[in-house]
Amino acid sequence: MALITASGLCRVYDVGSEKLQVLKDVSLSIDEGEFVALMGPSGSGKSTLMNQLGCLDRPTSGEITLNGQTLSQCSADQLAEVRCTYIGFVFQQFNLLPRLTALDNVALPLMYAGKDRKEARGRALECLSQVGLADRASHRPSELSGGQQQRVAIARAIVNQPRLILADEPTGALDTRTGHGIMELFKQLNQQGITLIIVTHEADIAAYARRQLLFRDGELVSDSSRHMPHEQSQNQQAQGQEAAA
Amino acid sequence: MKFIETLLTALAALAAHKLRSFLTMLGIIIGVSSVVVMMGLGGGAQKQVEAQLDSMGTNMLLIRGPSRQDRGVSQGAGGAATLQQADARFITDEIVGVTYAAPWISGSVQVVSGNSNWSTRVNGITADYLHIHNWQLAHGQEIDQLQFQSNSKDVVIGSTVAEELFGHENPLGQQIRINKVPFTVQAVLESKGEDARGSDQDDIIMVPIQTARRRLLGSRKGLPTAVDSIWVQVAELDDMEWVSGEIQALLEQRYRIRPGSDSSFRITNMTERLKMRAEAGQVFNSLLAGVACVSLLVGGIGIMNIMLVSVTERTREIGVRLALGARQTDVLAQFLIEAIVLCGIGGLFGIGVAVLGLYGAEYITGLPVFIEWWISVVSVLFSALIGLFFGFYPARKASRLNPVDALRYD
Repeated sequence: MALITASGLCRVYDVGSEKLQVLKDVSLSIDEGEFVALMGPSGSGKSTLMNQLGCLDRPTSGEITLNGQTLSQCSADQLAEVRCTYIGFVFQQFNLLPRLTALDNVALPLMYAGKDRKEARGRALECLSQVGLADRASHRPSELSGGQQQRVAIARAIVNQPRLILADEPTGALDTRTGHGIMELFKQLNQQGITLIIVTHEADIAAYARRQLLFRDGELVSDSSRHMPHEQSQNQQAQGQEAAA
Repeated sequence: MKFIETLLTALAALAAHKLRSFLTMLGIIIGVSSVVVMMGLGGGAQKQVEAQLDSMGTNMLLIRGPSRQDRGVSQGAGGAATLQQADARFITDEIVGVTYAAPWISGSVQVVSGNSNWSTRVNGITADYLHIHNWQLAHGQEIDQLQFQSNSKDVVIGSTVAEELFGHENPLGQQIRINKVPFTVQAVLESKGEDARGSDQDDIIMVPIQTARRRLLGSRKGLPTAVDSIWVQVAELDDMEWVSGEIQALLEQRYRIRPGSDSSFRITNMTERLKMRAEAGQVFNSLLAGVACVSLLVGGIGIMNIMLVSVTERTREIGVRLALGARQTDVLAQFLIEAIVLCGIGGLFGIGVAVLGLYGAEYITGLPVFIEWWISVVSVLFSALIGLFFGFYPARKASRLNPVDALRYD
């Protein structure tokens, strides 16, 4: 069953007097439990698509349906509610709040969900131990390494028990080894049933996903599951090279 | 997010920039304290005027004979009517709403007691005069029980006179000589201090009006019962205009004077005159408070300025919060609370500074100050309101940010 579907998605930015079309009529459907990589060179529209899917931005035209809910009809606060209940975000630059401890950073989405502090911290500590950082709970982001910060960010993304995690270049600011550690963590989360969408332009990162969508100039140019469902691994290689080029 | 959490978030953000928060607050502190100081000084002046009004007596009319001047040329006494002592009783009997009507003559005398002598004013009065002017007697005596027969050589002396003549001795029952005529001190007046013009109200002696006329001042215009003026106290403030008109009419009828002519009696509303002077002072005070309010406004603009900087500076943080599920109202509340807390605390400090300053000034200069307790509460609330007003635009700006733009902001 499709968790999220997009149809005829367009996004146009006004750049001065020009209009820049970043997404051109993108349609796709992602099922519950999938692990999808959005690939493509920079400027291909993959991050823009992710922002649309994550309710951080509204499409110029087209429609997104998340878990049966039509997003174009939602108010800003309803979108906040959707983000709060269904979606966890992981960013390239981690985006932890510098003044809060790791624990409070992880607990923040729960606070916005209206939980009280004690309960939120209890749950946050569980998530921190799930990413192996329970002993760093009282550290501030500046006292953690990049890999640790990203793990805290992942703990923050799962703290609300979301159906969907969106990760925008989650390994982009990390060295290769740390990056693969993070991807292993994502793999585990996917095995627990969380749907994962990852934006990346690195083929070896995309290889963790079971489905790759390739974008170029705002258009979806290939979808591994549609074209070659039986030869997934070869397809991944091919697309990875394409993306790297 | 729960309100308490939003509050804690806002407080943490303020605590993270202590110097900036303090400097922003300083504008409000100065604004609120100058408003409160102005109100305190105004209130003190007001209290002083009220006390003077009270000591003068309330709802007073003064009836005097016709003006002796016509276009700068003295007309002399001839022809014009003169107030008679009997008019006072007549007014009390005939006109509704008059509490007391007291005849009065006045002049300067020399008072001697033993080796001391003192020159002062003497008022020839009846006991009603003391009631009208709200005089109290020292040494626990009551006006109504005073031995003050119309013809007796009894005298009531003001506290300044008592001090000059007797020092710390008890003057009651002592003999003094007024213009060489011996009198017995019946009572001492409770001190009233200076009047609104700054002259000493206690430098006075009072004797029965007939005694004053026969023994001290001589009869007025050759008439044995003439008086200088009549003081009237009206029961209700609202009736003063009406009573004044009635008295005028009554006297004109009695002396057969053409209504409104120059030779008619002059009735002055003393209370009104004092009130007008007090009001003029109040206008000045409101003006000062207005200037102080401008400084509060400037403080508010400072708040707005800093909140705008703060929103811009924390755009990314706002983006993250929105991505994590913060609603617009959560972000709005966070920034609004920051502004309100800044102003509220600024207001509290402002009052502290103002109260210290005011009572310090009172202690050092003796300037009267007075602050109603509710002014403090109102000014804290008002400064919080300023926070709400000037914080709203920046907070709204923050809450209306598009999440993706906020996240990308550098």
